[in-house]
Amino acid sequence: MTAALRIDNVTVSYGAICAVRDAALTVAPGEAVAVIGSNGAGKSSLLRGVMNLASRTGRITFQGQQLESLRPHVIRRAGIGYVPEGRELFPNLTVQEELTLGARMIPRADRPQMLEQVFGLFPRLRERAKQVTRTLSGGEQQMVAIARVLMGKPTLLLLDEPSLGLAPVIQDVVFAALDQLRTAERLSMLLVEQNAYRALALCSRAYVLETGTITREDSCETLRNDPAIRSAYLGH
Amino acid sequence: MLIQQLINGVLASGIYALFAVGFTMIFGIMGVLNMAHADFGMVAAVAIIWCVGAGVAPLPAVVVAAVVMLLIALIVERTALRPGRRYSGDAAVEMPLIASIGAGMILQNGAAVIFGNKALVFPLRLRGFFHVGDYLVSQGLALSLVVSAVLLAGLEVLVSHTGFGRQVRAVAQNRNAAEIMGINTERIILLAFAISALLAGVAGCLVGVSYGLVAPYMSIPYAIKGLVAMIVGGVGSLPGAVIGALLIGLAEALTVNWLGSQLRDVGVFAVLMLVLAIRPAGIFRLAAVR
Ligand SMILES: Nc1ncnc2c1ncn2[C@@H]1O[C@H](COP(=O)(O)OP(=O)(O)OP(=O)(O)O)[C@@H](O)[C@H]1O
Ligand SMILES: [Mg+2]
Repeated sequence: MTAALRIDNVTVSYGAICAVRDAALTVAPGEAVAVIGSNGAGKSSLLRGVMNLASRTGRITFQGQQLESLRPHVIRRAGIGYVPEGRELFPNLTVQEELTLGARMIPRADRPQMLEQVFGLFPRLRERAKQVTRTLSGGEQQMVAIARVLMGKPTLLLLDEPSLGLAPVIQDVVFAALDQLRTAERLSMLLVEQNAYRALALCSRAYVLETGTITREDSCETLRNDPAIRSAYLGH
Repeated sequence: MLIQQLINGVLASGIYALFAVGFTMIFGIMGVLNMAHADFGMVAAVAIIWCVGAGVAPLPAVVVAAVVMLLIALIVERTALRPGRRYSGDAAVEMPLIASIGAGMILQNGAAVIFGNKALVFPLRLRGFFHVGDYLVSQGLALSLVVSAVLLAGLEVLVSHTGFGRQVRAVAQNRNAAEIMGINTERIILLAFAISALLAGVAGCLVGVSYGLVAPYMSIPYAIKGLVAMIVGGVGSLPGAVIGALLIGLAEALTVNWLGSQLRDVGVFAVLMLVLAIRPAGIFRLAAVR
């Protein structure tokens, strides 16, 4: 079976600084895969590399299609939805406008139904539809960042620390939504997280990234019970 | 006399607003000042003179001028402004600013070499007046005001109420985010640039229609007024640029009335300093494009 995402020998660098070195990973269709690692390990750089937002070498294939030379908007249109670190919303657009922008690549007739589905996932956004995003709370902004990507019906989601800066109850909402997308929609996901507890609970397989190098790959279940992982990433 | 000058001020502001809106739109979207912007107006006007001089009928001449101006605008964008977008180090803002000043000089000097450094008679003049009570209204400037109002209203609808406008605002607010949302940001920037250049082209031609003369170096005072109007109105705001242009037109007319025409620019800059002293961000803080 063709992998949803396949990364081979990928190196991401910022000038002389090498943030990811010779990484390889795969995400099968419908699979949720986590990449865990501490601050500065290169998690965000890995995703930026996939989206062609940072300079990189190596091979990146999405459903068999090579992505290396494509610009980010073309990669998005191919079906990869990217929720970046720090949300990156449009501060003076309303929630409604963000969602409308996100739906540009699906047929007009499908948009109302998609909007209902997204509001079902994040009911809070329906109440905030007319509000500009810069006045939303951090949790609501994170919901918009995920929701606007879902509007375009991606087949693969790249998520960069969706738990960052959110209170545990809001994290619950966000991760419950992701879990539903994984089980009900069979959406492939590559989740990058410092919050290893959340990541290992949501995903089935994980990679460990340490200072730019992937050092381990295993099932989440195994990693959750591994003493070394527990002390390094789960704090107990 | 005072009222006559106020009428003149309002009439003149239409052309200023067309220039100001282009400056503010490009700054709002690209984050750089295009100092060659007003020169696109000169290019369009001299292109019409050249075409009509070569025996082309007025309407096709306008079309040819528009195409020539758009091509030149495209070259300026590619050579002076685009390199700054692909580079994010020090002076990423200053680089295109200086480059566009250079581009403007090339256009001015180029026109002076081809047409001579002198005022040229614009063939499509509208130099008559009509009377409104005791006052005189220039037909050319009245037409300019109407054309400007229609174009600016159209632009406002385009930016605030269409899918294209939503994409323009998204690019202005967060270019990387727009790109990862599937928006071809280079294409949006290029289209917005072409629209702003067309507005400048119309403004340059309206100068010819209203005053009868255009010249290779005519763009300099219009560039200054356009920039001042942009800052007075609040950078990035389309309605702000229009209000700024109106204030400047009025200030200029009043200075001419009270202090004489040699001091006309004093009034323009007095408005700038006064507004900045009271509202440092300009009149409209909440920008329309951003
Ligand atoms: N734009 C940049 N220019 C230079 N170096 C960078 C840049 N962005 C990241 N780096 C460096 O690359 C390395 C990896 O950064 P990255 O943001 O990918 O880490 P991360 O795993 O996402 O960390 P965090 O958990 O803090 O988000 C770091 O050493 C960082 O300093
Ligand atoms: Mg990161």
